[in-house]
Amino acid sequence: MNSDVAIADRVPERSPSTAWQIVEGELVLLRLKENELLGLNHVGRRIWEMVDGKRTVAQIADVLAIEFKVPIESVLADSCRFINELATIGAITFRAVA
Amino acid sequence: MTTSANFISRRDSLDRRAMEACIPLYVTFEITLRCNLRCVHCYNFDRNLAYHPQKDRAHELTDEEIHDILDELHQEGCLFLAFTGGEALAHPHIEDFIRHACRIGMAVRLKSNGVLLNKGRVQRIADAGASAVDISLYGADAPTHDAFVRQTGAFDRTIEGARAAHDRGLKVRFSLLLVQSNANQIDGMIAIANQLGVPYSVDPQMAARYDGSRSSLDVRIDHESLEQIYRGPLRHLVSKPPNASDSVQCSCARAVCGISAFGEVYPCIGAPVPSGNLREHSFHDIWRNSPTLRWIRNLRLDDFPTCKSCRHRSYCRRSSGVIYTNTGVYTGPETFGEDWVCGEAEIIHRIHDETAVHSQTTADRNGAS
Repeated sequence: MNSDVAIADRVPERSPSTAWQIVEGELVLLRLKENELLGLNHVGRRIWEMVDGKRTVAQIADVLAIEFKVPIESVLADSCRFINELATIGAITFRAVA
Repeated sequence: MTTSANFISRRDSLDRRAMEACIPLYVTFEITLRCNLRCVHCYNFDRNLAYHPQKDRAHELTDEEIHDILDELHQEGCLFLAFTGGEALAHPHIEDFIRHACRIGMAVRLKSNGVLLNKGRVQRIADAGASAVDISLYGADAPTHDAFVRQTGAFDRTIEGARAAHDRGLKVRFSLLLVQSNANQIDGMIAIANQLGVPYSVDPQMAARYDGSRSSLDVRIDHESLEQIYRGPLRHLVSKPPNASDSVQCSCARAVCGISAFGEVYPCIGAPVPSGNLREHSFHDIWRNSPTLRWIRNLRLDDFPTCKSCRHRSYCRRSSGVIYTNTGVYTGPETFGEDWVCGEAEIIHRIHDETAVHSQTTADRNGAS
């Protein structure tokens, strides 16, 4: 199993260390400490919109699978990888497991 | 499906997109006119008075209105939000506003005199999410700074505040205002910034007050002193190549916007041109439809009759907001020399020309030898 998928049941939330804005349809993240800008594509933007501190990664992937009409297996792996990348750079954190 | 995060390499590419698409990426929000100091140059109003003579303190935006405006600003495109005043930290609920602005996605900077930045306050604003503080400095020593802000002890507290913010990890930047009373102290002011390890900006321009009074202009540095400084300690600020752009257009009303403590929308907080009030219209409506903002966006070089033919234009640091407050004409000055900035441009041009001649002479000599 892809190690990224291990986060499927975790709940991501946006980190206060990252500001964001939609600029001409593109989601722009600003890492405050590093003063670094990242641009996300439309799928990344949709994931960011659903990172609300309530949904699990798997629930986010379920929505993407429906909206983008792609198999859940591939979208789950892709979402987990992407959210892990955002966590690595500090743009999101995971809620503590109860 | 491919998700991807790609780095946008430069801030200026984002700025350019905002300029072209008229996205209010940078907003300065004046949340109160209250202040703990009485700076002699204050642009809000003459601080010899208890309050702005044409305004009513009771009519400043309410907390609820401020929260609503924050939501509107982010929805319309703001990413970089600066809270100012008066003194932003003099507002009793500033931490709530910071927390709200950060939670919805904005990067928050404070513009402050630094006096109220004790360790506890720094901790609270950092915990609320503020990432940066611009702190104004008016001298390299306590007598000079304190006389300017008219409060004994302010200098020491400002420096301590800057240190506390820096130690807590906030991005601190000193705003060094160059005036006649500190003309011989700029080295010392820069040294303070360097000792603390923080960047600084230098601003010699002065604006008339928004209450219509003009005594703030009395403290301006004279051109003779300015030239000495530009030839000396601030040489690096005037040694850049001249502006190659054939425009005097700035980011006002395009990527930049200001909001007053009474809900008035300005093209920039430094350009108090009435463009609509948020108590009467939404920010979206004003930003998109205000005839004033549209007029400013569409200004071209030909609309600046004096500037367009000025031979010092490439060296000019003209701010339309300052010109507007000082002369009443946004596209002014109406004659060369009407504003202080004309003389500044002439000085910078002269220094550049002399440097170019010197460089050419040196090159010729080296070539001949």
